Amino acid sequence: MSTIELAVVVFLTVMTVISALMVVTVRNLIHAGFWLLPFFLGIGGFYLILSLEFLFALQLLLYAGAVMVVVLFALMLTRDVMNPRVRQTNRLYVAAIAASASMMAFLIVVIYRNMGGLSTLPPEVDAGSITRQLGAMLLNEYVLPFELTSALLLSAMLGAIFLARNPKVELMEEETANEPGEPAATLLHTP
Amino acid sequence: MSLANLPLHFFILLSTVLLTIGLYGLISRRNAIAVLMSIEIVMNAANLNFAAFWRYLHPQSLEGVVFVLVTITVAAAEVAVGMAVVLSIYRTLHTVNVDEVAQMRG
Repeated sequence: MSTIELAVVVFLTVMTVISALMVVTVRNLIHAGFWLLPFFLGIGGFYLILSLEFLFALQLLLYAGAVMVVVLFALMLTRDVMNPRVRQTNRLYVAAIAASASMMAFLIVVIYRNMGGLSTLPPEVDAGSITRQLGAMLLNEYVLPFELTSALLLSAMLGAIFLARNPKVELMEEETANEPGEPAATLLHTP
Repeated sequence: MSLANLPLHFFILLSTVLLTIGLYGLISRRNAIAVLMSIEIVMNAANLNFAAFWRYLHPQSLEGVVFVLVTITVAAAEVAVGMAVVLSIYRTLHTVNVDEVAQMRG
């Protein structure tokens, strides 16, 4: 491994781990949402190291683009996310540290004990043909999972639209159309 | 970029660390949107593991990459539905803190 490659790997590792830590610990949730960006970019960089250019592009488009924008929109539509005095951790704070630290220690011990069976040097692959092979594979062998995933995505989108629409607006429209004299029933409160 | 001669353990250890960071956020965060962000961290750690195992152990067949593609799509669907649920809860209960949402019928 050359010095430049080592520097790139160290930089990506530090960026990914630190931004993941910031996402889960920072108090201002808007900042936590923005810390997702270097995290997703770091993971995308590792996809590049693994010679998966297509996944890198997908990571940038889907995670760093779409998911982060949705998260930030949802954060801005709810209140008190930028107030640093509001507590952002619950009662399980200490238990969470204990659980995740013990799980990390356990997994690292398991990995360390089984290091011998794992390969250390990756075999060569033709990086240019991976995307082409992937496209052929998705439309031949894996066409059923591919179509099921698209059906899942469509139903999730429809469900999201159904859940996120404001029922009170439609209720008031119905009320004014049917009984103009009656006050609109407030089944659901809107802020 | 040329492939750095990293051992496979590096990727497994990195995704272990990311998984446990995400687990910590998943348990300790109060805000439902922050919980969803922690789930994103866990899912990315799993994706990295899939890609690394594919690259080091079975680079001839692309099953691992297909798995990562499906996982990314499922994660996108999960974020969309999750945010819609959070907005719906906020409209009904005026809070998105998961420890205050304690009733089944708002």
